[in-house]
Amino acid sequence: MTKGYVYDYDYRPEMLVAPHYKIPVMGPEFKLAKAYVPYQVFQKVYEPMKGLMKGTIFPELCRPYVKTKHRMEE
Amino acid sequence: MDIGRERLELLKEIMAIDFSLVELNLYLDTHPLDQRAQRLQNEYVTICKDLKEKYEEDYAPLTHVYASECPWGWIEEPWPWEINYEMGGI
Amino acid sequence: MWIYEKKLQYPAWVEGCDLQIAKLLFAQYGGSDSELSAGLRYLAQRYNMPIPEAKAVLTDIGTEELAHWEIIGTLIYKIINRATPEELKAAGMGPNYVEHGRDVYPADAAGVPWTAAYIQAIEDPIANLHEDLAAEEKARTTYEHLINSTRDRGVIDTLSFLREREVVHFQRFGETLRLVQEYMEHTKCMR
Repeated sequence: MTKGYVYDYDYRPEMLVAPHYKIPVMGPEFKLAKAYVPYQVFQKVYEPMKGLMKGTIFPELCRPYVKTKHRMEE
Repeated sequence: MDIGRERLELLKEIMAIDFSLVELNLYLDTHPLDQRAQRLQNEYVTICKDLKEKYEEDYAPLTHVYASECPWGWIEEPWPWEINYEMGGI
Repeated sequence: MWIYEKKLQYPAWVEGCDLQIAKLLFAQYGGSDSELSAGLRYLAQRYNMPIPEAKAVLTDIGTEELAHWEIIGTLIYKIINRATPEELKAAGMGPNYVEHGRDVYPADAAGVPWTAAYIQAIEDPIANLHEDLAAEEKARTTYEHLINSTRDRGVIDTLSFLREREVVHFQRFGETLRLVQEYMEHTKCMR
């Protein structure tokens, strides 16, 4: 089994990039050159009609889009 | 095309419960051991079956698999893209 | 196999007759990042997936994308069927009307017919899934551009639903990627 990437406490990604970026450490089970999306675990669901109107029954996956203004209105 | 208030309400309820079932289907595909989700799915399946049975009995078939009378009701209008869903427009 | 259920997944509606947005909606009907591309891409990639979860996810999401393709077709149909040929021509849809009448023909917003060159299936499941994740993000972005391009409340409402679906699909593909990565890691050790 290939070993995960292990970080030195004093030499972590967050310290090596511009301060407005947050790059928290991912533990040794996460490998370089691989992408990871966090796994969802469902807690509650919207009731069916509300879910249909929102586009999902899972509140944690609800990401509404706020329309940007038309140029004309600015 | 308008289809009458009651038929439209029932159709929207079916759309809503079917949508929840699709969401749960996708969730369970990647979480096959989640028993909470499975219980919810089973609950919704019963409700969905009842709603669809009622709709097919009272109004029109939803799939071609149904006991028909003469003439063949599957072809009846409106088809889904023709219905006015009364959301504020057509 | 596929069975058709005689209902839409969402009550697609339009408020008025915004022919400009009807022209642009073709981007999601027959364009490079359209629902059609998504559906066929996932359905083509599912055959050689190494784990059952992946086969299920690709089949189910592929099927749902075809349902979304139907919704976009419905929006376009509802808008252009209220317009006269002169109005269509004035809105820049003259060529489309001449060549296809009011049929909803699978081409993009510029009239370029759909092609399988928009999709890829390359057998490697990690590569395929990354393409799928990218496709979902591109579809979401296209929906945001479309929402920015109209004031028609019905179109915005329906497109917001479809946009949220892309977010959820991204999550499912992300989870499938995790499963496939674990599987590939595990089979490597077994050798």
